[in-house]
Amino acid sequence: MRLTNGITILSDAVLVASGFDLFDAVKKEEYGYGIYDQVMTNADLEAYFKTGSDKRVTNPKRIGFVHCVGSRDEKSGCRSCSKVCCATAVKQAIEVKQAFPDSEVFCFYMDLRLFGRHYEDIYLSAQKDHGVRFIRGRVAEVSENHDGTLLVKAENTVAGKPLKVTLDLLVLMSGMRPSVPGKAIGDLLEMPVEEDGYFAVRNGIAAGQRSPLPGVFLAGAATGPKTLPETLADARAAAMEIDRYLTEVFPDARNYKQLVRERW
Amino acid sequence: MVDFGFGLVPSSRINLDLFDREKYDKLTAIEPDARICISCGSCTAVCTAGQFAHTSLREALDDILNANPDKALESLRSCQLCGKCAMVCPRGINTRHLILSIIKVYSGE
Ligand code: SF4
Ligand code: SF4
Ligand code: SF4
Repeated sequence: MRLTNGITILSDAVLVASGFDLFDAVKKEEYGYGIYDQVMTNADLEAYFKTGSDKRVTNPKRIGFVHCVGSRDEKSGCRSCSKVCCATAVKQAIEVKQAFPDSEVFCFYMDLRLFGRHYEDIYLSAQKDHGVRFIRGRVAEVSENHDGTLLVKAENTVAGKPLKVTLDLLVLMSGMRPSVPGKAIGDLLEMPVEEDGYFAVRNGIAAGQRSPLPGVFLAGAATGPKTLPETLADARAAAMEIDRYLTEVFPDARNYKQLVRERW
Repeated sequence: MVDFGFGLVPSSRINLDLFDREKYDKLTAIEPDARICISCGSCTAVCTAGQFAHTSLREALDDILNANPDKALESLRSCQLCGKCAMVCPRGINTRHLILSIIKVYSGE
């Protein structure tokens, strides 16, 4: 293996942790990212919270969050759920309410997938303590008014009626996509990829960190959308799997490991 | 303003721009639980009055948020405050009190 700094490494095991790319929201043209001024993504909003400046965020009164942008959407080439964006949307909705207490915040969702520990508590708190409004229905299209505000159209599928609302800011929850640079590494190693574009694993339950190629291990979003705790657990599991592999397949390595342990 | 193909009759569409925030704030001030409904529909399914006349707390809460409070009042008109809905609500909402508060705020009684 040759690293980018020119160093060549000979190894018995390789761990591919190539992560994910954020879905390019420009592709969902009907939401107007890159076309209308007041549309931003989850990543843009996160950057705003960090830097405190974004020309789109000027004391907005009505803010909408669109769940599942580029996820659960075969039209944009992705059937799967990105797992983290529901929780992120609820978290960001609360943060927006905290930053602009006078504002009204709407989350447009198809399902709220808040499966992790405490996630449901955050959802309850968003409703109860922050008055975030959750509307079941995918945003269908967005248009810009002359004054720069946005007209958003969806169906409220609970009420069974089409709905429109004028917003000052729309935040798109862009989902996870297989990493393009990761794919290049995969091509070099000739790693099998599944239909969804993520790397195949040997066995999704019993060997989730092993690729079908001997000696090649995988961790994190290289094998599909993962939450942060899942990624950390995956990383630990991969390290242990590699340890086991080296011990079993290269018994000679034992002495080396013994030495490492003694010096730890 | 763009009409955006929204020429439907008002009763079959939702226009959130017409939402009365002041009244809703008044409701949630006396009844914060109004916000935590998850539209599960349990209250409507078990409603004793619902067997005889259309009654639905779930719909009423949704209609208030959808800027249609008159329809909300309509959905609660036949409620007899039996309290069965409170027994099934997964969010633990004090439904009877909520129903009374809705009527108080939105019908001005
Ligand atoms: S986590 Fe939520 S917003 Fe993200 S893709 Fe899944 S359902 Fe959609
Ligand atoms: S309290 Fe009213 S809404 Fe609730 S179950 Fe009884 S009649 Fe129905
Ligand atoms: S039972 Fe409770 S949570 Fe379910 S729809 Fe009725 S009020 Fe809402």
